[in-house]
Amino acid sequence: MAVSAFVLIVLPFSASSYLLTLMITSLHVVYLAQSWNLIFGCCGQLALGHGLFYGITGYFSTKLLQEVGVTPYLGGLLGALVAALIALPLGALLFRSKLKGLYLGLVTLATMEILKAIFNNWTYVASSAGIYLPFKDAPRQFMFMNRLPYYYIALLMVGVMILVTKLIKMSKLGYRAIAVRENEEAAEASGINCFGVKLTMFALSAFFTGLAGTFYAQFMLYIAPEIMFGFGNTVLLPMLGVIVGGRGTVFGPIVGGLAFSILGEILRRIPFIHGPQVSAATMMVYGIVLTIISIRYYGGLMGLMVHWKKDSSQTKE
Amino acid sequence: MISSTVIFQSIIYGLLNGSIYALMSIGFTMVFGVMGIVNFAYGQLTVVSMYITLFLYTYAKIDPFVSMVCTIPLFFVIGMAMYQSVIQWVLKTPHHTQMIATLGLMIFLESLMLFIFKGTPRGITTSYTTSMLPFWGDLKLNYPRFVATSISIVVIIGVFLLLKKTLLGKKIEATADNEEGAMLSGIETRTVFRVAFSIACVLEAITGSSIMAFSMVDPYTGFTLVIKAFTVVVLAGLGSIPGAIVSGLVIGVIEALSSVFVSASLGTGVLFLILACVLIFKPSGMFGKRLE
Repeated sequence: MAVSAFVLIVLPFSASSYLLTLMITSLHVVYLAQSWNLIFGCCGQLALGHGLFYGITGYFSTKLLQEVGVTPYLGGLLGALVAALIALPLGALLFRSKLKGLYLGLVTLATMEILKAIFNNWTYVASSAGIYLPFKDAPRQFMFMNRLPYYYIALLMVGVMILVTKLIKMSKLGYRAIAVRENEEAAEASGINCFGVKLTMFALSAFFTGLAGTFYAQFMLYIAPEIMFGFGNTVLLPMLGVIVGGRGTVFGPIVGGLAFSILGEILRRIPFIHGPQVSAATMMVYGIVLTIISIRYYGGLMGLMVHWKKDSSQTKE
Repeated sequence: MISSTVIFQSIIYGLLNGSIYALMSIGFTMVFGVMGIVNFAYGQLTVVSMYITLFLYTYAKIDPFVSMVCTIPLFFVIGMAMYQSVIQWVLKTPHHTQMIATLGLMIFLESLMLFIFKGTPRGITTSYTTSMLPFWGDLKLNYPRFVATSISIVVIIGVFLLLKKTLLGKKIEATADNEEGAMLSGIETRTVFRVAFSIACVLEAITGSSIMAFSMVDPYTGFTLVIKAFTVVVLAGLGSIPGAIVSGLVIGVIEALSSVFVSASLGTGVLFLILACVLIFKPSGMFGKRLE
């Protein structure tokens, strides 16, 4: 644990710029997976539209920077608060009408797609062409010429998220959320306010997902509706991380997110196929893995680890 | 001001499209009604059938409508394989597990198509692609769309006859109605599931081949199609086949009119808005039974 933290802090000094970029994007996916884990992993609610919060915060902080010159550190926080404020009435509508499973997934997905359609046709945010940010050295404006600061910010975000997840899981809220996930009727019957728990977790998850939107905007210096509200990078990858790593656990999303980044990198090294076909091949493997894990290994990699530990301890005894 | 001809023309266009949406959605809703499975890979199967049709046309000059002879048996087999490998394991799991498992399948098929055919949209130009049939005054029917609609009407009637008049259809309906009861009265429900799933896949094959005659295809079409199927099925009420036909037509017309009055790129947004509103305010749809 301490060793891996030490490695993560020291490693980037010897890493090439390519490896560093890879590590930053992996940490970004891990962070998104951790945020989505709050609503799906801990609370069992399949929300498929988290790009909604990611996009809103990214656009909010970028627009604040462009128009008023507010630093994205503050803009991101404000944007994430806006995302959480949007999540509250949306969540209230969703959870009041007792939408579950499939229906919840579809409505959240639909909301994200509606937002994408609006942003694609809204000239104030440069519609589908997207907004470019200038490439300059301005640490106060969350822009660095070097990749190292981005790496440490991404690492810090993942670290904070580990802490947040642990705190939530130890708190009353966390236990209530797990009760809601396991059996909502029983939870309601034993006096838990299921509606409130789901809403709180939804807003928290929206807030943390939002922060990632600002990070992405400042790192890539380009945002467009297809990216910020895109299903692939804002919903699918975090989902893969959570499900493959182990839903509801603190370290599952980290293991899952990193596993997928490494898998993608290994596939990139395969000879004979080039360019866009590599990413297609990667996605093919992702699809198969997602299907197999969801059918056979419900607990993901973390679940398997627990299983192995139990087995070995039993044989010792 | 938009002239009435344009409006009527777009309504006709919407009805023609809607009949194909209906065809696409009845398989989806049947699978849900019989075995309670939500299949995200469904639209992507249509895309696979579209690509096979495209392939047959490019390399063997087989007409898109004739290529159904090839795609129908192929998709029956694909359906069986998909049931054996994935669907049978998620029959009794919660909806979100089914959704994630079939989402994995969808991603797999999508990337497979991307891998083989690349991302550029492709279409077929036959001798009749742009030919029009006179219909009423200034109004005209696009020939390939008209043929596709006729085929979907025939197929939909065929599905109804299959369900109502044959022994297999009665077994399917009995299983949909009460699985345990069906099992107790000696119906092999697992076989019924497998066959029903394959029939749904065959319907996708027919849809794909018909759409290919007048439309472009790229690997990402599947996601749009499955969302359209979802919207149709949710508006109808999950599991209701007659409902799916009506709401398929309704969605087709709404889509056509919204592209005239609002904008074509907002058209999908309008569909999603309908989907969200129906699910939030009337989740049982127009013709649905109560929701669990």
